[in-house]
Amino acid sequence: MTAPLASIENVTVLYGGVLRAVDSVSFAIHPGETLGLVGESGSGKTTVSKLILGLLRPTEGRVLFDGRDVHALPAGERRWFRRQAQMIFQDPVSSLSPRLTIRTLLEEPLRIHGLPLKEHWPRMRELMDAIGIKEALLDKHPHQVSGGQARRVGIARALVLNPRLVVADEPTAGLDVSIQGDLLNLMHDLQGRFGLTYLLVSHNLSVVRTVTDEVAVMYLGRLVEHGPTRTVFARPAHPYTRALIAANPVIDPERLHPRATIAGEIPSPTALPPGCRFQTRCPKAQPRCREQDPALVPVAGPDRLGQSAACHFPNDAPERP
Amino acid sequence: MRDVFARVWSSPTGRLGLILVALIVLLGAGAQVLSPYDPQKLDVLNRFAAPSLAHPMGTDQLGRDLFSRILHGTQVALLVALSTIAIALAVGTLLGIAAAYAPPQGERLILVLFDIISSFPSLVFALAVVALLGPGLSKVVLIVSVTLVPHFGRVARAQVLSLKNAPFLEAERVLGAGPVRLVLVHILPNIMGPLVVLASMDIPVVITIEAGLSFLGVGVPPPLPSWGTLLNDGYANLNQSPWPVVSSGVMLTLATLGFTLFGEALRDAIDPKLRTTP
Amino acid sequence: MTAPPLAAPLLDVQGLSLSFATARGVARVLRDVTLAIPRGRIVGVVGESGSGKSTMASAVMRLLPPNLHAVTGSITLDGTDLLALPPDAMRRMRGRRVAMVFQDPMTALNPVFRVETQMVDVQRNAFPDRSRRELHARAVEMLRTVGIPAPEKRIRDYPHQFSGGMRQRIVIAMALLCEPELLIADEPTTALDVTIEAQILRLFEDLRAGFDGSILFISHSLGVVSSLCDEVVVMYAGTVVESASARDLFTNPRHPYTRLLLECEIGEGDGRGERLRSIPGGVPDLFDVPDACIFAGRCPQAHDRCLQGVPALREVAPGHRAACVLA
Repeated sequence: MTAPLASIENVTVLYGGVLRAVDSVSFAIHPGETLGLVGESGSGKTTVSKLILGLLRPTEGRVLFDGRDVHALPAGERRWFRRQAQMIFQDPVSSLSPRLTIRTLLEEPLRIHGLPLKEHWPRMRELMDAIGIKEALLDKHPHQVSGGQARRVGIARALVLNPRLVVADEPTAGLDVSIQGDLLNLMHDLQGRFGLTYLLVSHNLSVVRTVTDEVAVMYLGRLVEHGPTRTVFARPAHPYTRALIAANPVIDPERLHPRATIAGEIPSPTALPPGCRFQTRCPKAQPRCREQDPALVPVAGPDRLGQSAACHFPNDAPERP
Repeated sequence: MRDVFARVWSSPTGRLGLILVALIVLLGAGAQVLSPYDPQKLDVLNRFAAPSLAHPMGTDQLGRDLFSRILHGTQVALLVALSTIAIALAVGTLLGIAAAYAPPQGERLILVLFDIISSFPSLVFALAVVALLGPGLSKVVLIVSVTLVPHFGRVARAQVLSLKNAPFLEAERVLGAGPVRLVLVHILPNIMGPLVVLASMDIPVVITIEAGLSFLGVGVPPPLPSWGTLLNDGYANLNQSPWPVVSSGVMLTLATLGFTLFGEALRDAIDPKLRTTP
Repeated sequence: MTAPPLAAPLLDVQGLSLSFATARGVARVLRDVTLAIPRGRIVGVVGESGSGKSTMASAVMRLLPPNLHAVTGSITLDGTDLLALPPDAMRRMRGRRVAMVFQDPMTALNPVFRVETQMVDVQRNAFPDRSRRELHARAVEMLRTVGIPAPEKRIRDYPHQFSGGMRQRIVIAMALLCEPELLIADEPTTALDVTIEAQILRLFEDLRAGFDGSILFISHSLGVVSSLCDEVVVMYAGTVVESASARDLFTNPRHPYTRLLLECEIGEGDGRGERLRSIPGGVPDLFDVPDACIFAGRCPQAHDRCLQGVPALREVAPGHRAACVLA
């Protein structure tokens, strides 16, 4: 296996000393792959994406990029790292500085890093071509362009600096189904063309199933399941993953899959339940689950290579067809 | 920008304000060219002359041409108003941004400073300073600008606070933008609208404070003409001739009215949401 | 399964057209919308942004923005033409006979009052002779029905003390308190996490047993509508393009737009690396609506006949209507 491009090792993030937003989480993203990060609001997805981008310093643990601790880089190389990891934002219009023109917005990354604009414009044109940004757009302001166009501008801005890792935060949220495919296809093409590695943060399981190589499931600050997307979706080991997949709305006019629901809501991260964090909602919770916090361990069995789950009783559900 | 002026022009009061402001700025800026006489030149034989072709507004108690003195007074009023507002705007905005980004103690310190300054009535504060340091144009500018700093500071702080967590600032941070760049390129342009409106609404306030101080004899020192000194001189000699009081009083009224109407129209044009805030 | 619908529908929308005056001109947001909601049924309205599905719901509630330009057609609830109703009669209609649940529960909850106060007040007009204690008891019971744990205690809380999912349950409870004949739910689960969305959808399914009114369920999600609704109406750019029973619509779609939309939906078969489908082109300009099929510009099967007038919504199979000359 290749060396990971980015990874977090045993990272814990405490807010105000009490709120455990992320609790001893480790995972790695390998070059050229797409890792999907799923979980409900409050699961810690956003905190993890900020960690990977180096925007947030972990309370404990390390954030590595290319094998180097992001927060121990010498001053000169911090800028280098800033160019390696970029982000595509959820709300395309409000993530563009409103008073600037699209041209200035596209040039802004170059200016920030003191790169000569003239030299980089040929690449910019190549990017604009690849992403589908028309020349006529350049002199407009963000509020004068459509949501779809703003989305493309946001992607171009993320790629101007030639990053290796791109964090995409809910890139299809609020997007109509009829154009969602366009965006995902574009992201796929860009990945091949520019050798990108993606961290895709999404609550849309259909999207995650289709466009990711690996998937990591978070619940209440913990990684509860991790593994190759195909394996995890075919044979989810953690009851929470199973619940998420069962809750995902799919077209089912014959009502063949009665939607299994799990009761209750995600508890507050300031008052964590004892034992397993999912035990308050788990349909299969046993006395042991209320006492002992399960560790993330590999799932046993054939064809489960790379799959791990944090559950005392994984994999006892019948397989989905 | 063009847009904003078009919107100001489209409201009748805004149009009146814009015309008055333009007229006053034109008169003040062109005082040297437009004045028929040296505003300092005495002509004691011709005291208290009524308006005539030679003296459009008549003359004062020393026979000086009132029209020329009003024009120069306009220039003084504008100079004082603009420099005062410029200083207050710059210092206030800076402190406001600093307060929004400072740690809690720093922020509290700045806010307490604002409260202390605003708790002094500006005219009383000005009188106290002048009594200590003596009258003078630059002192008037300084005093009034200090009293206006909290105005701009509070608005700037509130604006930055509402902007601080905007996704676009986060996006710039991800690209690697530092704090200076964030403030100059991304925050300032977005908070300037309300501050400019505030500035234009504060101009008439400064003009009246300057006139008031000069009227009391602690503002612009003679022989420099100011609307306030002209009013005072005219008031002292009201039984001889009403013209000095009438001409300077009318100018002061028109200027305040013009800038106020303009400021209100500008506020509505830039941000109609501000209408309800004082 | 559900009982067969009675002859006369509860809500009958006939030829509803509606336009808004804007700075750019007159936008023809709804054009000749016709749909019927039978008694005791859940009817889903699906469409993408700009389809007019929410405007249609607001028209039924007569909660339209002030820049309304013109309305034609009729909206009949149990024989009463809602569009012809005087304002205060319409006001009495809202909440009592037609209730609405929005995407954001806070549009219906007042943050400064306890849930109890709001739930008692909303019943006052409907049940003027009942005592406060009775109304309170009904409110607690309704909270229990919608799945609020310890309702007798939680009813004393303020809206902000509840999670998003719980707030939506409270809003649904408030909507049901006056026993409306029609409940309109406008994207009630869009802002919620999937597990909570599944719970709320389950709640709607459970409610239909004890609730004899009809539900108009508006959603952009084909998946949600397919598993919840009895009948489905597909809207596109301000007009109804297809309507049928949920099973017919999803297994045998007749309008090209519905077919394409279903193809865009990511299914279990789509694997990594496969191209995903989309519908080329953009939403048409409602300021300048052509006298042709509104979907013709994006339709892969469009030909000359599609440009000759707006195709009527006609029955293509029993209970299945489509507005396409080819269907």
